[in-house]
Amino acid sequence: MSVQYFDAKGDFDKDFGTPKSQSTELVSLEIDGQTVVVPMGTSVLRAASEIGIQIPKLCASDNLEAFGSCRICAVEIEGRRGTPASCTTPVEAGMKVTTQNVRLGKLRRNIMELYISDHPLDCLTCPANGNCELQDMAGAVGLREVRYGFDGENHLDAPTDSSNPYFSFDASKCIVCSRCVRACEEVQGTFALTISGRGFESKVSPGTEQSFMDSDCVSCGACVQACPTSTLMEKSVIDQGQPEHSVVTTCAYCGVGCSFKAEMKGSELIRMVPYKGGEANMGHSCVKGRFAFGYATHQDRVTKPMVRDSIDQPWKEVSWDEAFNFAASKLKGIQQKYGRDSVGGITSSRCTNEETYLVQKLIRAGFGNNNTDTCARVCHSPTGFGLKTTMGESAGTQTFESVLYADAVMVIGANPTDAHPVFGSLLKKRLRQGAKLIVADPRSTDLVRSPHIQAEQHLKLRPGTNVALINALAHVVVTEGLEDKAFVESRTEGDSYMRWRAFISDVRHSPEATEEITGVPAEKMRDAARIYAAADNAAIYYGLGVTEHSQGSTMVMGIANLAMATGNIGRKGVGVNPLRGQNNVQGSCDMGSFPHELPGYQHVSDPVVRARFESVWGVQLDEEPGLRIPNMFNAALDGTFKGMYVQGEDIAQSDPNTAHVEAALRSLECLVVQDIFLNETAKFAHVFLPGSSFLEKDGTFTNAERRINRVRKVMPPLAGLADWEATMGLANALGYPMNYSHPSEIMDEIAQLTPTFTGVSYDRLDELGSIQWPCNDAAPEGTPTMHVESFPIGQARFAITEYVATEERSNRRFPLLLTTGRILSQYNVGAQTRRTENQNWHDEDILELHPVDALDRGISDGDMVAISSRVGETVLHARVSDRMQPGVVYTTFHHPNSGANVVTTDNSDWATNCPEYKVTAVQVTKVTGESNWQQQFRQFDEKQKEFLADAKREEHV
Amino acid sequence: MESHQLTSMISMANQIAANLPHDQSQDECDKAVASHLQRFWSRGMKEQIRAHLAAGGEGLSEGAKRALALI
Repeated sequence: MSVQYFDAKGDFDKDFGTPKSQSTELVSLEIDGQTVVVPMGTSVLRAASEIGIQIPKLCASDNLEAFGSCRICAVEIEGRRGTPASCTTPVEAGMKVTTQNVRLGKLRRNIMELYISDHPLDCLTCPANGNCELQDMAGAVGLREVRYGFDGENHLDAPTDSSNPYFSFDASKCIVCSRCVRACEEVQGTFALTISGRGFESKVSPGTEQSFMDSDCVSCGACVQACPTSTLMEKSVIDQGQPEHSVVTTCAYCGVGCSFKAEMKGSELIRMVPYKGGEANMGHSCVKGRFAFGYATHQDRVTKPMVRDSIDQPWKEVSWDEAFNFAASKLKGIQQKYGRDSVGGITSSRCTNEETYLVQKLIRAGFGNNNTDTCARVCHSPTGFGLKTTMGESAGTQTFESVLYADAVMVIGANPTDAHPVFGSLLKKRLRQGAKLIVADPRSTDLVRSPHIQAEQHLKLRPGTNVALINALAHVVVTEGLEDKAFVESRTEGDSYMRWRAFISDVRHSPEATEEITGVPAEKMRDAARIYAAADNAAIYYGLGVTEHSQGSTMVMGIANLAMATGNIGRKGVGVNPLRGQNNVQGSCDMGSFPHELPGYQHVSDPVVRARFESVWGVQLDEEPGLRIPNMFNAALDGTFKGMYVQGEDIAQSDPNTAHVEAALRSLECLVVQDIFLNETAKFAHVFLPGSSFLEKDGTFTNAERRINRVRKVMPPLAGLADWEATMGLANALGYPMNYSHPSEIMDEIAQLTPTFTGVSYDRLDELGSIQWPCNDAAPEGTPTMHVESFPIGQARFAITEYVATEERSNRRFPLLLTTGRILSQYNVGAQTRRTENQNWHDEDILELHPVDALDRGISDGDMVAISSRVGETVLHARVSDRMQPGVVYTTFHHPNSGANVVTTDNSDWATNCPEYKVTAVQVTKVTGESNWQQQFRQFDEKQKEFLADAKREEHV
Repeated sequence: MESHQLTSMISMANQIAANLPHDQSQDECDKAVASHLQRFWSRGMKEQIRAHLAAGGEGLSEGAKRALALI
C-alpha cells in the first residue's frame, strides 16, 4: 500500500527497526561490503536499513527502543564471537557486518520454525493476511518446513478478548514479542500491559490478568499498531479486510492536530493509522483520533438542506439553491428592517482555515458589518489578548516536541492526558526521563500521580485564584534574585519591567500573604517557583483552567511575565504553551474570526489594513469592531439582533447560562445552522445547511503549535457540497460573489492578505509536510520556535497583573464552587464522540465531589443530585472522589441533557468576555428526579426530532 | 424595557476599569480603559453606553464613568 502524498522529509512508511539516533557525531562502518555513515548510537539494524538492506526482524520497530528478544535479526560482525542481534548492537567505527550467509540463514529459519510450530496456520482467513510481519518474515527467511510438528504443547486454543469495542486481542496469534507492552510504556506511557508468567507460560496481560476494558488501558491503539501479527487487530479490519490505499490527513478532534493515514477501500474508511511523518504526533494517537471516526457516516447525518419559517414547524427538505435563497432573502429582509448590524455569524473552530476565512469574509463583506466571532471566544480568547499584549503575537511559542528538551514543566489548569492525550504522552515521556513537574490545578489530575509520574509540587488552588498564585510565584522569582537579568535587559522593555518589578515585589504578592486566597501553603509556592526558575529550560503549558476565568487575560499575562522574567522564551524546551481545545481553534483565530480583527490579528480600525482587504474583496469595510458572541445574545434579547449564520458550533450546548442562550436563539427571526448533525443549536434554526466531515473536503487545520496541516478529501461530501462550497452559495445568494474552484485558491488569498502567511500555499505544504506560521520571506520554512531573536513588537512588555477576586463567590446559599472540564473518550459537546463506541467509556456526565461534602449532604456514589446556581439547576449522578478538594465539585459537559451549562453563569473575562466556566457557586442536594430544565429539554428535543423525521417522511412520499 | 446589553455592559465596563493597572496616574488609567473599550466594543454598544452615561450612568463605577467620557 502506498501513501499518495509524497513527503519530502523522509520515508515514513518504512520501519527502520530502531529509533533514529539524535547524536551529531558520525560513525563509518561497512555492511555487506558497503560503507555507511550514520550517527553514533544508531543500531546495526537501522544502519543496514538506511542503505536498503532489510535484516529480518520481529520484535523491533523504529518507534520502540531495541529489545532483542526474537533474535531473528542476528548478524555476524568481524572479530566478534557469535551472532549478535543487530537491533541491540550499536554501530562502531570500522565495524564490518555481514547480514546474510548460510549460517545466518539457517539460524533465522530455525527461529522461525520454533515460532511457527506454535502459531495457527490459518493465514488465508486471518485478518492480518496481506499485512502480517510474521508471514513476511517466514517468507524472508525461506521457511519451508516445521520439523517439530504442531501436536506439542501450544497456545492455539488461547482465548480472544473482544472486550474493547475497537480492537480484539487473539492470544492464539501472539508471539510474545512485547511490542504491545513496550508501545504502552514507551509511546503511550500508560503501563496498562505487561507480560505475565515465565517461559512457555509468558503471555500479554492487560493489568493483572484483566480484560482490556477492565484494565487501565486507554484504548490509544499504540499496541494494535505495534503488533506484527493479527493478535491485536482493529475490528474494522477483521470485518472489512485490509485497506487498499491511504491518504495522509489531519485529525478533526483536539488542538494537537495529529496526522493520520486514512486507510481506505474505495471511499470507505477502514481505519486511521497515525502517520509517522506527522510532526505534531510523530506516529501516535488517542482513542478519539484513531478509532472514533464512525460518526462521519452515522445514520444521524443530515444530508439534505432544510428550511422552515418557524421553529414550531416541521422541517422541509429543499435543494441547495432553495436553501441559499431562502436564507439570503430572510437575512436581507432583516437588515432592511432592523439595520445593517442586526445580523452576524459564528465561524467554526472545527472547520478548515479556508472555510472559517470564507465565513468571516461573508460577514464582513456580505453582511457589511464585523459581527463575526468564534468558539475561541469561550475558550482561548484571553490567550490571544494576553500573549499579544505581552509578547506581540497571539499564539503559543513552541513545537510540541520542544517538551522533550524541558527540565521543568509547569502545567496550569490543563489536563493533557485527557484533553490533549498525544501531547500528554510526550510530556510523560520527558517526565520519565527526569524532568520535574509542577501542577497547578484545583483537582488531582492523572498527571499529579500516575505510573512512573509524580509531580514535585501539586498546587491545589481554589478555583478563581490563579492570578494570586502566579503573582506569588513571580514574587518569589524577583525577591529571591532568580531572574534572568541578561534576558530581561536585552529582550524586554525597560520601563515596563521596572514598573512590573516594583509591583510584583510588594509584599502583598508574597506566598505568605496570598496563601489565604489561594489555599496553597506558602512553602509549596516557594518551592514551585524555585524549581521553575532554577531549571535550565522551564516550560509552561496551560489550558482552559487559565483562560475561562474573570481574570483569564490577566492570568495569561502573568504566565508570560513569569516566563520572560526567568528568560524562558525563545529556544527549545521553554516557552508559554496554550493547549488549544478544538482542532482548528488556533486557525479560526488566525483567520480573522474575531469582531475586532481581520485575518492575521490585524485590527479593523487600521485604515492601511482595511484598504488592503478592501482592494481584494471589492467592498468597503466597517472600521468599528462588531459584536462578540455574548454581545450578540444580549442584542438578540434586546431585539436589535435578529439573524445569525452559525457554522459548525453548538452554542446552545457549549455556551454558558443555557436558559439565556436559548432565549436569545428563540428571539432570532432567521438562524442558519451549518452542521453535520441536527445539533442543539439547529433545533432553534430556520435554515439547516448540511455540513461535511473532515473526510469529505480539502483544506487546512492549524494546531496549538501554529502548525498548518493539510486536510485531504478521502470521500465525496455526503450532502453534495463541502462547507466552503455552501458558504460560497450563501454569499452568492446574498449578492456578494464568491467563486473559488478549490480551497487552495482560498489559501492563496489568505497568504496575500496575511503578513504571517505570505509563504503558505498548498504546494509548499505538500513539499514541507506542514508549516508553522509565521511563514514569510523572513521565515520561508515557517517558525517552529517563536521570539528567538526578537519579539514582533521588538522588546516584550511586562504587564501589571493585579489580582481582582471574581464576583462569583460561594456563600451560604451556594457554598460550593463548580468547575467543569473534559474526559478522554469524549470531545467537546460530544456530537461526534457520542455517535461512536466511545460511549462505552462515558455515557453520561457525572458530578464529582469530595467525600466530606458528600457526607455533609448524605450523598453516596451513584445518587442523583441537583446542582443549582443562581442561574439554573440540573441533575446528575454523583461520584464521591478524593481527586476533588473540599468545597469544589466538578463535571463535564459532553452530553446535552446533562445541562452543565444550565448552571454556569454569564460572568466573563474582563478583557475578552471569555466565560468564567471554571467558577460557579453552587449547592448540591440529593434528589429523586430530573430538573425542570431537563424535562423541558427532553420535550423540546423529542419535538424537534419529530420535525426532522417529518422532513424525511416527506421525501419518501 | 430592561436592556440585557446595557446591564452586561455596565458590569463589563466596571470590570475593565477594575482590572486595568492602577499603578499609573488616574489620567493614564482612564485613557487605558477608554482605549480598551474603543478597540473591542462595537459601535452600537459604545453609543448605547454613552447614552447611559449621559443619563447619569447609574451602576457605573467612577473609573468607568471617567473612561467613558473619553470615548
